[in-house]
Amino acid sequence: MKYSIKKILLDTNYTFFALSLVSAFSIIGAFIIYLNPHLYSSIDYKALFVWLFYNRLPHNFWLYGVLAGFFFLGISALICTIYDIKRRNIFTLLFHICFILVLLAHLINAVISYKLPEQIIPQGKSSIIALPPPHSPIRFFLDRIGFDMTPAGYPKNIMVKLIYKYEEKEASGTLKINEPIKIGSNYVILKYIAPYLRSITFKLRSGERLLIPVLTPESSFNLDGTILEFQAHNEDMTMFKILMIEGEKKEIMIWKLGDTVKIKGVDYQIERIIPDTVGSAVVDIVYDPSMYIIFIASTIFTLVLVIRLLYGKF
Amino acid sequence: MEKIFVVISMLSILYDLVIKKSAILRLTAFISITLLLIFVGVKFKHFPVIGLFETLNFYALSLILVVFIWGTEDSRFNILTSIFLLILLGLSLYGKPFSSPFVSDSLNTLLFPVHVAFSFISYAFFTAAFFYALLNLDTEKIIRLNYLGFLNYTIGLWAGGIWAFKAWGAYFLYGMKEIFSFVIWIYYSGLIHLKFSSNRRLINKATIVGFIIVIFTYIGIGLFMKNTHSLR
Repeated sequence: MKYSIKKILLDTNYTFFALSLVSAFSIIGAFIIYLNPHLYSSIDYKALFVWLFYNRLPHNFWLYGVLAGFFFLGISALICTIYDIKRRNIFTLLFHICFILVLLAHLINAVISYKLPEQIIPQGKSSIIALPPPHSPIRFFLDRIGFDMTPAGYPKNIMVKLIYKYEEKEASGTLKINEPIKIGSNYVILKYIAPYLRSITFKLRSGERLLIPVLTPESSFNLDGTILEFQAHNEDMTMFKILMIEGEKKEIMIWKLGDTVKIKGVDYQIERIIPDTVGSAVVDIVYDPSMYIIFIASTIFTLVLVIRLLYGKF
Repeated sequence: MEKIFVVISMLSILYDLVIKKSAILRLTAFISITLLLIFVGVKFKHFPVIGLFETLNFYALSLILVVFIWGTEDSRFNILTSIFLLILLGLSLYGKPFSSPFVSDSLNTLLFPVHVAFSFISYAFFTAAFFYALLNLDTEKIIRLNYLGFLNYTIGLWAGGIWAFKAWGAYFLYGMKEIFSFVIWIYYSGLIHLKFSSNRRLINKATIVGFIIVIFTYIGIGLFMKNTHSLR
């Protein structure tokens, strides 16, 4: 029995079938994700095992299949490594060691990595971003945003100068697309720049009566007992989602220029909208200690493939 | 303007296929696509592998080169590769040539051409291996072509992984394209283990299945499904 298991783990035909099985489970998974994006919307932002713990879905059978396949392949690669050492097959030994290292790195990633997506750092004010424990929070100050505008109206050569404080150490860095900065063991990755609405002033008119509510994303506006709360805006800031609370009554309204809105029984026309915006950097903050192992192991793997080819071995 | 080069290439391949079996005609197609890609690259200042039009032409160019070096005298093989090249080039006419003088910041990295070019070179090797397998030709050559494809694909994936980490903060995302790209690597890593197998039919069948996965990943997902690598 012991002999036959070892034989299976060393048999390249079985390796092919195991890898095909992992492929098949992955293909099923790709379609399940594609058809149920709402179920998997947070999978990219959490460590895999943490995500699996909080999302015990029957849909996830394919993920368990992939994990079981890799467990089998990891054992198989380990036995092959011992065999390679005995036979002094240097190339295959390196392939198998690299494969095991990549699997171990993914195991680390699946347990302790995290990603905080779409964190907004507005210009001109200090922003604190809390990280999962035991990591300390990072305090950011966006000093400057630079970019060129293409004739089509897209920003290009985006550059964001940040001053940050982490664990009592203050430093600065320049963030660009494809050029993250490392703060402690976290990477700050620039996704895009966007206008940040500091406040929005509406000019509402009803005959001679004039109302000028000033709303901010952080606080609500009290208009003689009627609370107005800014909720969201569209991309070009022409439509605003406002929550109005009058006593027990709550109503979500969309305000845009020229519309009529009823406040305390009086119809007001939106005469002017004056947004006060500054630039902001939208960043992802990533902690992934496995990336160095993956980078080194995959680089060695690739180099060995090339060297093996140069030796005429396919 | 760009599409004229494609039409010239298609006519050369068609003439070669129907009337005159000559390597010179394939060479004409090769030169024509090379000129097209140089023209696009110089005109728009980017490595010409953006979008359906450029990638299909780059794929066709790689395939012509692979077949030049690792091809065979078997006429069925040459007919099939010619038909496949005509499909690739014909499909590229459906794609819109790149027309913006600027590429986005995210593509402005050396990792982009390395990732895409090596991926398409690998597709060319996998395609040639597929035709060998389909016609039940030289198994040793299938093994070599699969290995070369796997090597190029690994380089492409390595560059793509680093680029993805720098741009997205993750070397892997749970998206259709990313999972299928991982599947290609996993599947072909299994396939190259089969060189020790005495079961030639298994190698042939596995190579055919591998190519179906590759084509679905590129064309199927790229054109018909919403994803991060959309060709539309």
